[in-house]
Amino acid sequence: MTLQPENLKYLPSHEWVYAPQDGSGIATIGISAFAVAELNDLVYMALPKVGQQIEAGQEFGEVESVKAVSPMYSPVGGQIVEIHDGIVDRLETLNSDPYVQGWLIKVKISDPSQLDGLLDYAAYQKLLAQNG
Amino acid sequence: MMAKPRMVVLEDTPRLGPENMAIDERLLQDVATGDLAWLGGQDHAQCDRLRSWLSVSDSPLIAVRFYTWSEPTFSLGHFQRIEQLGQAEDTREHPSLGALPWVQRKTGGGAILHDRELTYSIVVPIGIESLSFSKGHSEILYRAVHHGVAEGLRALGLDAKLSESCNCLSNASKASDPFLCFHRRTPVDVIAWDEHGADHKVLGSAQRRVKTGLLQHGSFLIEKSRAYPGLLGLEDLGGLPAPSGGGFGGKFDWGDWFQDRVLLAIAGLLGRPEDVFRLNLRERSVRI
Repeated sequence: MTLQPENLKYLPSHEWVYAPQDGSGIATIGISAFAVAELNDLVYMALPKVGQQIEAGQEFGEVESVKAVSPMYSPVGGQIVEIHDGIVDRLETLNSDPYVQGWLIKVKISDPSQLDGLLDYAAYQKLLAQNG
Repeated sequence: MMAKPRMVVLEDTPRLGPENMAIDERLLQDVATGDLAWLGGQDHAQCDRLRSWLSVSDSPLIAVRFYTWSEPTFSLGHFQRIEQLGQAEDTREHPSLGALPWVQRKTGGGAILHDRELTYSIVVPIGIESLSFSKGHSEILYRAVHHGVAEGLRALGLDAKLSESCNCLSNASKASDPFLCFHRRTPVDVIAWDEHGADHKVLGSAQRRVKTGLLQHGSFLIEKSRAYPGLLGLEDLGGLPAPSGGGFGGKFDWGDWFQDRVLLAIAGLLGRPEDVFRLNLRERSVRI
């Protein structure tokens, strides 16, 4: 399984998580192309520190665009093990590739069953269609 | 179909920066649950009246607050740092500004010098219009309020409209951004022209989204501040017909006028509220 939109799970608030079945228990998290388009012009982003514990559904960062500050929520709980170095100074990366190049944090998942409660690609696309 | 919203309209007394921001943050925290009885402060009868009004309907609640500041104060956008005051092109030649008190906003955008201006906040819960699905700003709320104010200014005889242009910030250029909100220009800002044909931003707003709702802050510039006379307010532009021209404490009550325009704009966007509870917080000790 590769990091492509079709292989990700989503929150209705437009964060994605990629959790490969490789035994590492490490999930990669970002925000979807739809979210980036909605946010339009990303200006600032704040991300947490490595080592921080986070709950599923908890805010892990903030992003500012066109004078609006919005939270970003973690689809899974666990320990933050990596922050995408320098991404807050290269937010335009999210416009061109919000998935592979535009990931934000990596989390050591505490409870893999949390993934089951997330939207798969088809369900997320349906949500976009319903609300678009 | 969604029930018509109910509205709490708060007319507040001038306060210090931290208290002004804390009230708006508390409104954002509580508006979705409708737990706003604390607005009654230590007046138990008022608390009971408010609690009773809140309990009679499950309709979504909107809170709108109009306020000023008890001393000239900077409010900084959420990601701004006070050190930028001494570095940005628009403020670094004005070292006296560094002596002013400042407070951090939860909303984005640039710094505002709250002096001869009127501030408003609108707090809207998730579930109203399309807020529950979007990420980022709600342009529809910006536009409704700003369009309503611009239209009102034109009715007063001023040449005013939405900017519809941008010196928009981007991640790449943010180091050179003006420090002050009123030096920045986004498409929805309200601009007005002076007698010499120069345009001036007179209303700017910014937002913060949380899981349960959205806060929109805005500042309506009435007169220039002595601390920074380079930014003109409405009364400095000239061309305003009677009965305006009085500025703060003058014949024309910009406070009442502004409230009417903002409330009318919200009603135009979300429908006339099912019910309105007006609360004058002046001389009321609100426990935040």
